[in-house]
Amino acid sequence: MSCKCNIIPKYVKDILVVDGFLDNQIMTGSLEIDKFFRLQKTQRSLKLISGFATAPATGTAARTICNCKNTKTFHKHVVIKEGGPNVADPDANLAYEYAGVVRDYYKNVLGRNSLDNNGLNLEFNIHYDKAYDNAFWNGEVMVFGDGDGHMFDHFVKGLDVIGHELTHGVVQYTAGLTDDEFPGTLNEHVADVFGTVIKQYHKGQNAQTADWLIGDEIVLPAFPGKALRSMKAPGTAFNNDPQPDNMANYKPWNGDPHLNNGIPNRAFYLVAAGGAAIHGLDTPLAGKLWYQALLILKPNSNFKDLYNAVHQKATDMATASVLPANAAAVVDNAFKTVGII
Amino acid sequence: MKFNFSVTGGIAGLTRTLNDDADALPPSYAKLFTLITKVDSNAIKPRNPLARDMFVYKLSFDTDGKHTQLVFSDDNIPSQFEPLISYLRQKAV
Ligand SMILES: [Zn+2]
Repeated sequence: MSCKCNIIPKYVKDILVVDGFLDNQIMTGSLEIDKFFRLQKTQRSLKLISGFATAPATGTAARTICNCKNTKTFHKHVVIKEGGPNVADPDANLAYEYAGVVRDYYKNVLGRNSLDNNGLNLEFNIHYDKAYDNAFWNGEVMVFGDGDGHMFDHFVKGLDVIGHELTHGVVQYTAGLTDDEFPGTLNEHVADVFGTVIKQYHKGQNAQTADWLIGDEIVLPAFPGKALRSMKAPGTAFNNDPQPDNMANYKPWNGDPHLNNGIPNRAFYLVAAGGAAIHGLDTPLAGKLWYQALLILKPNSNFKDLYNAVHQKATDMATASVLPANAAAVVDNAFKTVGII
Repeated sequence: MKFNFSVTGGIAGLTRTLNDDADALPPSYAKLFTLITKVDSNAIKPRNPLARDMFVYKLSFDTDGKHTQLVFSDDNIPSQFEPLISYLRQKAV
């Protein structure tokens, strides 16, 4: 049995009816309203979904780890709840630990209370399906496969993978970037950014000592490379890695939002690590800058919008002495280098 | 019946394909394949637009001179066909 949960909590549906956004006729059946919402990709619906800040707390940012037992069933077999002891399954313990690392980074460094900034509880479903080479965010929960054992290891072993998937939740509740070409690519970019920022934070690395690889901890010897992506040198993570590192080599849209995110990924790397003649901000401050930019992006933002948001926030944060005085120049250098401006 | 199957997307963004003949599938999957060719592509429920990094599965085949392509995501595969899609995914390279 797959997840049959409704994506819109009942109290939110009630609010929408009261506020006149939806009429009662539509609201009569939860299946109909959920189908309605699943079909909505407009800015209005995403803004509504993300506008829960004034609603009662949705949770306590508590972690729950569920074991799918190599089926596609979510929720059913709870193995660890918040505060519970370690269990015999090392994947469950690791998922619990890494979920805490990501949650605590957002709380302690960025001041964000879980994905929705309102205490949303975090559910991880591990051991999903058989030989499943993937991890995903389904709009409500995180899901992790065990890999095929040849090319891919268990996906919970990658802190950057867990940071990436949880950040999709953050994006959902902030900018609400759609899955169209540019906003979809930016969504994957932001997920990679915080995947690597959190990995560096946890390992005590900085922009100069980090490897800037995404997914290096979940690839096995049969995988033809060292990672899924390189933010420092896009296009070099594995044999025939198609990622461009510059707008001059932008690949025609094929529906995959991971294809061209190497371009903004390298811009982030350059802001953190600096270029030939300019010092970077280092990863912690670059992460704070990108988070502030994320908060002013729109569901249909493109690469230039990302630049404008990062530049604006770099200026604001330098004025407030949060960033060095030359922060906007560092940003300009990075985005020029990758051809976005 | 010849068919083409592909898996794209996922956090890795990789593409895997399988070109095979349904008659060569193990009997239980061949039976499911016969059934899946009767699925109305318009009846497949839409995937959740809020989901990210799910796989996209495309299954193409010809029946009675008509070309059909079925597209699924991890969250909208009809439950009776999940074993078939899972099997094809693991065979795709
Ligand atoms: Zn992603």
